[in-house]
Amino acid sequence: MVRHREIAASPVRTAAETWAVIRELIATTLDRSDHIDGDHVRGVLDAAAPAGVALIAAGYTNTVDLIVVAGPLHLTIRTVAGPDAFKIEADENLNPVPGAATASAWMMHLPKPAGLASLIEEAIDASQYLSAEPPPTEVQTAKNSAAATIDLRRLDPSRRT
Amino acid sequence: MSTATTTYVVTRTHTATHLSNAIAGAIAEILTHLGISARSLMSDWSTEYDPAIRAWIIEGSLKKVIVECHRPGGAVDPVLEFPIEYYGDGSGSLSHRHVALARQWAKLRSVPTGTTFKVICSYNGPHSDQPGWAPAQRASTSALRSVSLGTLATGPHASASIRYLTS
Repeated sequence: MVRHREIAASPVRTAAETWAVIRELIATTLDRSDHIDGDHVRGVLDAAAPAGVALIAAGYTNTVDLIVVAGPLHLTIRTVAGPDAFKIEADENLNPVPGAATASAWMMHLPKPAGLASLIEEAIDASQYLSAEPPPTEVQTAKNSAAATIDLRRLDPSRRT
Repeated sequence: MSTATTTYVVTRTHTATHLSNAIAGAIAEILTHLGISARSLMSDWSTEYDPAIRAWIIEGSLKKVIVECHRPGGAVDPVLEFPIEYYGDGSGSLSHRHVALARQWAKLRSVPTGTTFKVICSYNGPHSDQPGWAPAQRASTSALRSVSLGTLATGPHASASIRYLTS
């Protein structure tokens, strides 16, 4: 189950505010599972905030997805900066993302640009819930097979789920 | 066939947020390239640095954000400067050139283990007091050569560029 969310970033939000919105979206999404505690997710993402804030501030998350895999859910999150941030802000869907109710575990996959590599590695080394590796192959396949669906939704924001 | 349009206004606050974000990202990446952990800076950015830098950009008083790298032997090398230029007419546009500039700072030489950093701000004139900030003395840069890396980010009311000073 592939889902995508876009989050308004600079200049609508500071990098830290953007990370806080992403943190809450992920926590409320995963909290729908009987096996995952939203507050625990918040704690993991708070500890990873220095890495997340740097990725957002540098603009990397405008072109590379943050990916959360939880059971059947494959959630891709991208930030939108510049003039488009104003447009996307009005269409943001910050409600919990469907699909994680049956998940028993989760993993967040972070980009690791060369310039921030050691900062990202510090965060990953401190948490079993963070990775800089690509998501599992079967999930990648699901993403690829659903790519057309994602593109259609981007064209028509009112159809986003 | 119906059409729709949206309008938005980029305020001085938006410009300040945009420049502060860009400066944070550049400092984090340059420190990481130099071999200095940016974790503490990024951890404190939203509480200690960003509010003050945004406030000073909004009021037009921030002249430069300066990052000094203090080596264990006492030398201050390199030094990063982020000069702020203001546009009175709000005529600039939003841009962020981090990825383009990152190719240049990827070539920077790393610093010895134990090197620490200090963030200093300079002003164009009178400025508001901001929590956690106190008067400070800059280290001399007379022995360093300065290289301009160009414009990092622009907004309608101001822009931030980068200068790199090293021996």
